[in-house]
Amino acid sequence: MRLESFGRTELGGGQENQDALCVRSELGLFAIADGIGGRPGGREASGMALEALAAELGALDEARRAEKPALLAALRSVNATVVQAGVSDTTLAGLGTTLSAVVSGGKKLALLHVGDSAIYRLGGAGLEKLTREHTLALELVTQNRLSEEQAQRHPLRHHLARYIGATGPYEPDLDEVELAPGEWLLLVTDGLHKSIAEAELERLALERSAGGAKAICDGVVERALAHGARDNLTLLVVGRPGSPR
Amino acid sequence: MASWASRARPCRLEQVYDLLSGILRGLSAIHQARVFHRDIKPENILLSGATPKISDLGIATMLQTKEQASTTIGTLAYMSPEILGPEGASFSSDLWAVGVTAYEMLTGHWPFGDEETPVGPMVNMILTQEPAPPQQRVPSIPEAVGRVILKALHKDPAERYATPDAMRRDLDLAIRTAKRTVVAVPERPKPEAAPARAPEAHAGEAPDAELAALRAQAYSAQTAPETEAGLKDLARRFPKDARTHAALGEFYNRAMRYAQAVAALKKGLEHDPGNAMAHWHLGLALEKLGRRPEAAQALEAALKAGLDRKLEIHARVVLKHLTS
Repeated sequence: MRLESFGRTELGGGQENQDALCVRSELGLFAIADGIGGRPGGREASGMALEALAAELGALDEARRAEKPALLAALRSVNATVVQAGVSDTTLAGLGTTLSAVVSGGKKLALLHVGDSAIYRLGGAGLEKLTREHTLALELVTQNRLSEEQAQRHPLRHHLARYIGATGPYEPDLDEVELAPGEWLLLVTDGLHKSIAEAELERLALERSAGGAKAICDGVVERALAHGARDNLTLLVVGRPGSPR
Repeated sequence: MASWASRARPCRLEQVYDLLSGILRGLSAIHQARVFHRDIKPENILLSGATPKISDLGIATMLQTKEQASTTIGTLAYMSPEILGPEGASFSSDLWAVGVTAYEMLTGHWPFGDEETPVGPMVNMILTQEPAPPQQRVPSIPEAVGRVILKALHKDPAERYATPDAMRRDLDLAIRTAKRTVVAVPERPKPEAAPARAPEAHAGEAPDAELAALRAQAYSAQTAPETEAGLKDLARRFPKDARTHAALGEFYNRAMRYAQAVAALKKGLEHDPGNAMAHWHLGLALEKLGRRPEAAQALEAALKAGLDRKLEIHARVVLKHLTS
């Protein structure tokens, strides 16, 4: 499957860019990671997660890359690599990162997601969010222990229940997605979706979709920066050029 | 303290009491400043010698300063029921977390779930299940100590201890009335098990078992002076064995004494210039000292000498940041 991609990662309002992105077309890998800030090692965690994922996928046959068991095994190793870094270097103890990726292999296109970054699909029908944020508050909503309203005000509403670097289960969401010509996947870190509302993201992306991945990416990122982004932000656009059906 | 209190490796009662007493004193000072920590767990207790220090006031500070937009992470295992409810954390939630930490140190298990328990079931256990009494898991734990821990783990915050000092007093009483019991094996390496100082230096290699025991001790007790003394003694007795200097350098890195780490690691590399782990630790130490070109050189040498896959990725990422 021929995929076109373009990505940008920006410092935004952060002091150092702890986001990372990875485009390895030869491995069918398109991924972003957002290192957890407010503690040491965010930058290292995001960089290591993407390097480790690329290394794991590089060791697999193209046909197996997007298979669920192979991806789960790869993620296990990615998580172990990040955990190990905190053991090797005590100043990084407790490091963590989100990870959202698109993996193309065989005839499949797999989505892989842990944390509070997001993956959207942009098509003729508009923008559709394909992932959910793995915050503890939303987990409690799923269990009917908090209402949506309570979750939005909850002190730990930004506390990730699942992330890479966890010593316990990190429970990735794995899914397959179909992508028609003219459809795009937008991988975004929370710095981007906090600085641009979904409706505006949809409008901007649709307006520029005819221009391809770079046009969509530049249009959205420039607007987010113009809004005065307060955090690092990353957008990776992956898709199939062509006219939507 | 994370590895010190590692699960499935219970600690001796006296050690636990000393640590808990120190943690509760620290927590008392934090609470008196009208701040609650919100993230008490072994990873956030630093051991400097035998004295515990509570670190990572990140979440507490963020909430105090209303910077609530930042993402945070951490295991569920130490979270109290009220944190998971609409009311959120309170001072009492910190005492619950001390209870979980104590339970873990004494029994080698979390009171609710384990490292493989997914988020959903663990939430359910914390909210609805009663923990097994600690003495049920390790019969040598005195019942009075078990009662103190279970009181800290009461579902209702109002039924827990009112203050860290109150918990410390009860714990003190429980310990004094109990026999000075030693909790069952498996035992961790004891500092006093360090080999007796040999009178002469040897030209050969240090015994593998002795080296491995000291390295394990360095990872578990972190910065204990006994471990440092043992490693220094080994390096003195086997000065031509690069591994002894590398282990000492690794210890200094963990203790964040980077200049000493550099000296020990360079000495090791004089005897074995192809020692990948010595290059790796040297690179880390130099990076912390801000000696970027030298750090990059050491990491390149480590990669060339051959690191295992996880360390190789770590080294590449550090190298990329050093050279960018």
